[in-house]
Amino acid sequence: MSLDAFKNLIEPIESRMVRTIARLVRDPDDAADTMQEVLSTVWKKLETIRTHENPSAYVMRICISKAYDTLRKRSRETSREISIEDLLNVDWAGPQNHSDEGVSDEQLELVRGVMAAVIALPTQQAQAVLLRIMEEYSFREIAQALGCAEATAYSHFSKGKARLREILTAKSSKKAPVK
Amino acid sequence: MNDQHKHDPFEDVLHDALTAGSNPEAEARLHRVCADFQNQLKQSARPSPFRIWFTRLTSSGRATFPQIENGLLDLPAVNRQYVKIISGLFRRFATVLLLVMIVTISGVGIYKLATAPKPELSQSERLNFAYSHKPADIGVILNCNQNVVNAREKRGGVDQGTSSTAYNRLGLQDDLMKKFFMTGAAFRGITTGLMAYQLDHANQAPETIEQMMKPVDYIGTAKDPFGIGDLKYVRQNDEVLIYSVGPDGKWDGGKPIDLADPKLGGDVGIACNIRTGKTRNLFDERLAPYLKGDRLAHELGARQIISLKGPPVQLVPTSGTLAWGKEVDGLRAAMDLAPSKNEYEKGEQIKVRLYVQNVSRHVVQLASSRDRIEDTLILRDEKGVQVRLVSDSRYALFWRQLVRHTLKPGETASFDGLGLSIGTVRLGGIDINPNNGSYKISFELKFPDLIPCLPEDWQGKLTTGEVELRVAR
Repeated sequence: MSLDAFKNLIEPIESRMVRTIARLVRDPDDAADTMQEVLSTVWKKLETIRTHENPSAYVMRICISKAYDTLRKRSRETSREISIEDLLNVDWAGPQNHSDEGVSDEQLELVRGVMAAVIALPTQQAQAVLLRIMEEYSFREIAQALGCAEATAYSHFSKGKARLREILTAKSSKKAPVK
Repeated sequence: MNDQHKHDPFEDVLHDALTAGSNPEAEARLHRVCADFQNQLKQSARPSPFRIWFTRLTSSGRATFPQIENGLLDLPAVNRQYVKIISGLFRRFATVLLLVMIVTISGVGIYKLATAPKPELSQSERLNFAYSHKPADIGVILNCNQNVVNAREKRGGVDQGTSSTAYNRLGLQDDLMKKFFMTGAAFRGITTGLMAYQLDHANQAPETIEQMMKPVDYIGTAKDPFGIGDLKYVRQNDEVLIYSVGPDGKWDGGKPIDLADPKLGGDVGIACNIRTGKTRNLFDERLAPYLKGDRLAHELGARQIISLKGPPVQLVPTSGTLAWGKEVDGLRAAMDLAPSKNEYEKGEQIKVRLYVQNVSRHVVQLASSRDRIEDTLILRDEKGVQVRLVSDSRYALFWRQLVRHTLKPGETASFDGLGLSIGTVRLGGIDINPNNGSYKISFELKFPDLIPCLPEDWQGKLTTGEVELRVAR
C-alpha cells in the first residue's frame, strides 16, 4: 500500500467525486465530512479497489453510498413534498434567481424533494438510479460498481426508477394538478 | 438491460433535478479536503527519526519496515512490528528478571543457610555435654558447641551459668580462664612462700607482701593478673587475706565475684590461717576449677589455641621394651633404670630415666623441673604389698630450674628422675632398703612439679609402667 497508488487512483476521478458529493449532499459541512469518509474508506480498501475490475466505478459507488448514508441521516429534516408535475414545470436551463448553489430557491426545494424520494428507495436501487441518472454509467459499469450482474443492475435501476415514479405520482394525486 | 433501452422522459427530469446547479466554493472545499487527506497520509507514513532510532535500538538493526516504498511505510504493519518488538523486549526483560530473581533468592538462601547459627543447645543438653564427656571427646564437644563459644565471646562474660565444655562450665572467655588460672597459681605460690616465710620467722606471717618477697625464697609472683599492681595482702587476726581485683579490674573491698553479673564484678581471694596453715576460698566454689586450672591446658591444647613457651622437644629414641603406664589425657609415661641389670646389689646407686610420650592428637606443653625430685616411687613386692616413697624436696626450692617441653603428637620427652639408693643414703634421691627378692617399681609423676606454671602447661599425674627390680644379697 502506498500513497502513490492512492494518488493515482483518486486524481483522475477527483472532480467527479467532488461534483457528485456536492450535488447529492448540498450542505457544505456534511459534504466535507462525507468526502473525508470516502477518502478514508478508499485508503483502507485501497488494495481491494486496485484489484477491482473497474476501480473508478467502485470509488464512485463508495461516494454515492456515503452520500446516501449522509442523506438518510438527515432524512428527518422536513422537505417540501413535490410531484412529477412540479419537476416537469421547472425550466432547469432557463434564467433563474440563482442562489449560492447555482439554482433558485424553488429549484433547490425540488431537488431536495427528489433526494428525499431517492433515499426512500432501497440502497442498491438508489445507488443504481443515482449512478445511471447522475453519472450516466452504463449498466455494465453499474454492475461492476455494485458487484453484481448486469441484468441485476438493470433490474435495480428499473425497480428504483419505477418506485421513484410511484412516490412522486402518489404525491401528485394528493396535490392539485400543476399547470 | 442494455444501454440502448427505451428513452424515458422521466429520466431526463430526474437528471435535470439531480445535476441542477453547482457550488464552486463547496467543490473547492472538497478538493481541499482531498488534498489535506493526502498530505496527512504523507506525514504519517514517513517514519520519524525517533521511530527509526527506536527500531534500530530495540531490534539491533535486524528489524525491517514492512512494505517500504518510496520512503513510505505500511503504518498498520509497522505498528504490528512495534508491538512485536515491544512484546519481545518485555519477554526478554521478564526472562532476565526471572533469572536474576532466581539467582538472588538462591544466593540469599544459600548464604542464610551457610551463615545461620546452629541451633542452640538446651540447658539439659549442655549439662549432659559438660558432665558426660571423656577427655578424648573434648574436641568434639568444642565443635558441637562452637556457636555457644561464639556467643560467649561476643558477650565477653558469663554465658548464663552454663558451659561449652566440661571444664569451662561457666562459659568464660579463654583470656579470663587464663587469668583465673594465673590468679590461682599466684595464690598457690604465695601460700607456699608464706609457709616458707613462717618456717624462717618463727611461724610469723609477714606484715606486707613485700616482706615475703624479700628473701627471694619465693619463686612465684605477687602480681595481680587482673590488675596493674600486686595482689592485695590483708592481715586479719590469725588469717592472711590475699585478693585479686577480679575481671572488672576494680577493688571492691573483697566482695566475692557475682557470677550473675555479666562483667563479673567483685574480687577473688583466699584466706590463709597462720596457725593451722589451712586455706579457705573467698570466692564462689564454681570458680575453683578455674583457679586450679588442672584441665585448662588440655582444653586449650585440644583447641590448638595455646601459645607454647617451650622449645620443641628432642626426639628421644625409645626402646620397644619400655613399659608404658596408663594414658592420661593423651599422655603416658615410662621409666627405665641405668645401668640396666638383671639384679642389683645393696649399696648400688641406680639412675632413673623417665619418659613422657604424647599420644594425643594435639600439641601438649609440659612444664617440669630439670631434675624431678618430687615424684613418688611406688614399690610393690612379690606379695603385692605396695609402698609409696617420696623424697624430701623442701631444701631443693633454691636451685630447682623449670624447663618446658612442647610435645607434638607422637613425640617423647625424657627427664632425669630421682636416683635410687639401695641400702645407702643419697641426698636428693630415694633411699630404699629392701630385702632380697623381686620388686615392681614405678613412678608417679606430677606435672608441673614446680610452682608456678602457665595456663598452657599440662597439669596432672602420670604413672609409669612397672619395671622389675631384683635385689640380690
